[in-house]
Amino acid sequence: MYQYVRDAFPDASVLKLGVTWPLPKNKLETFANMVDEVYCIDEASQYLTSQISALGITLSQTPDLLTLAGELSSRALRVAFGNAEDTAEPEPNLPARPPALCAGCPHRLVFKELARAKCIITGDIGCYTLGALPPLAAMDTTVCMGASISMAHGFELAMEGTDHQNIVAVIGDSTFAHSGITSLLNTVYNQGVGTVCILDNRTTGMTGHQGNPVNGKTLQGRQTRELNLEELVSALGVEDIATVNPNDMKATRQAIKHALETQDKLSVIVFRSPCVLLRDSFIAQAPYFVNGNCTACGSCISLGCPAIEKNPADGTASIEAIMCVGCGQCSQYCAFDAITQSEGGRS
Amino acid sequence: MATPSIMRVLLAGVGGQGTILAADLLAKTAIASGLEVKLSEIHGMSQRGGSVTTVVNMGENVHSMVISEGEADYLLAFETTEALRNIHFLKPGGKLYVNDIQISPLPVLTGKALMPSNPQMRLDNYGARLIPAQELALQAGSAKSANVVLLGALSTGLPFTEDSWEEQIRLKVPPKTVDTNLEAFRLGRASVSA
Repeated sequence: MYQYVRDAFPDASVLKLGVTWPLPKNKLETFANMVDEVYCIDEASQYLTSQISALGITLSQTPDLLTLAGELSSRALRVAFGNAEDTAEPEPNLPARPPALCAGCPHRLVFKELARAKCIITGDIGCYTLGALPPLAAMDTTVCMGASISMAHGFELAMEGTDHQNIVAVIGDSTFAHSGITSLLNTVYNQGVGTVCILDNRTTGMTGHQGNPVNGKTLQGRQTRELNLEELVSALGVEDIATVNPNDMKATRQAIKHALETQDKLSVIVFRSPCVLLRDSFIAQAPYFVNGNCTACGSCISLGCPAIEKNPADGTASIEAIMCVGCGQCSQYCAFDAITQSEGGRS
Repeated sequence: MATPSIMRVLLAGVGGQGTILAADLLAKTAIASGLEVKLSEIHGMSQRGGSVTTVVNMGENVHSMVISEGEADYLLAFETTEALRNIHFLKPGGKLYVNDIQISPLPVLTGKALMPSNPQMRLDNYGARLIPAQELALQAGSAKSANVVLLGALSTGLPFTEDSWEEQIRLKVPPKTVDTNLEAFRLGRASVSA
């Protein structure tokens, strides 16, 4: 806020308060006596204005009131003082550009299959939170790290005895190590049931591929002891544990089906496949392309892969070869053999 | 009133286009030229294809590290839709340099939204200089150098010497790509001067 004031009014005398309670009465009075007029800049409150007025210091009113909601900015200050220039209107009707799971992301099919199974999905914080966005739209809650597992347990308790959708928690490997372990222990200890999916992409994807206890690298990139997720989960007391390659649609569907069929037990599925941005462990394959069999059914489009485009004219799909990493996820969803891999590896 | 001695640049693009590297080169060139610089990035989604903006404020005495609507002296856009999305941040009469490509976001790819029609005509209304940065980057030797082509275009409007820009490029980019990036910079510069 101080920087905005200096930016908007570089020639004004400014008293910057480091401590706002108790107020420095003498300093405020000395400052007020030195200047012609005193304006109080409060952000989203009237606290300082009312307290300084109560000290008997006369404050001048800005021509327009400062906003009581949202953030201050240099422009908001100039607007309040009546000397902001007009600006261009924002351009209307632009398509949003939300972030998306990468082409080949190993999280994609887990969300596709959980949505297909019509589960209540409690999510967590990481790249996989993007599974909440359309077209996957497969996450119902995101609160704080570790909350996916605790909230799934809470949902189970709150909905016990009712005819409810299956409840599934989804959490990434590093988030699980950070604060999901205690949640899972709590669920086991309190005889909770349901399904927990741990998405192990061998890294901390969203924040820049840092090491974590599950991928066996320190923050400095040195090798360290790697946490064995399955053994840990077993030691916590979970009996039904599966390890699945999430790029395999049938295996993913089968594992979720099995876990959902045993909803009276606690199941953990570890989906393990490296992040496509990991240069050491992810190897791109020859790209796929859409052949003449495409019936415009839209099945592959529903995966939300940024390499797949729907032709606005006839609804058929096409694949951008430069972006495609050859994961083959989409071809497993094509019922018409319309998605095939290019010959001869990657150029 | 804003102090006229401060130059405010907004860089806007799509995650993965190299906006952050371009902003870094700009900031380092300004610092090497004796200015104070504040830079702020919105880069959380930079590798996930989302909108990315970076602000570089330069001058003798820089306070704010962000900008408000109508404050950017320069808008360097890496894609036409992102240029339109940020157009109201440009000061009336500010300079606008735009890469002449369109990149479809996921809602367009999945058929849920449409790209803006006639973006170039709409941008012309704001006096945009459209730069064929992709073509020029390929000409320089790598499509990845389009960000440096755009920086070259922007450099024509800024008071730094060609040498000071090129020195920062040499220091910053991977050794193998120095020549390509220097050529990209020169082509971008020439595209506006011409």
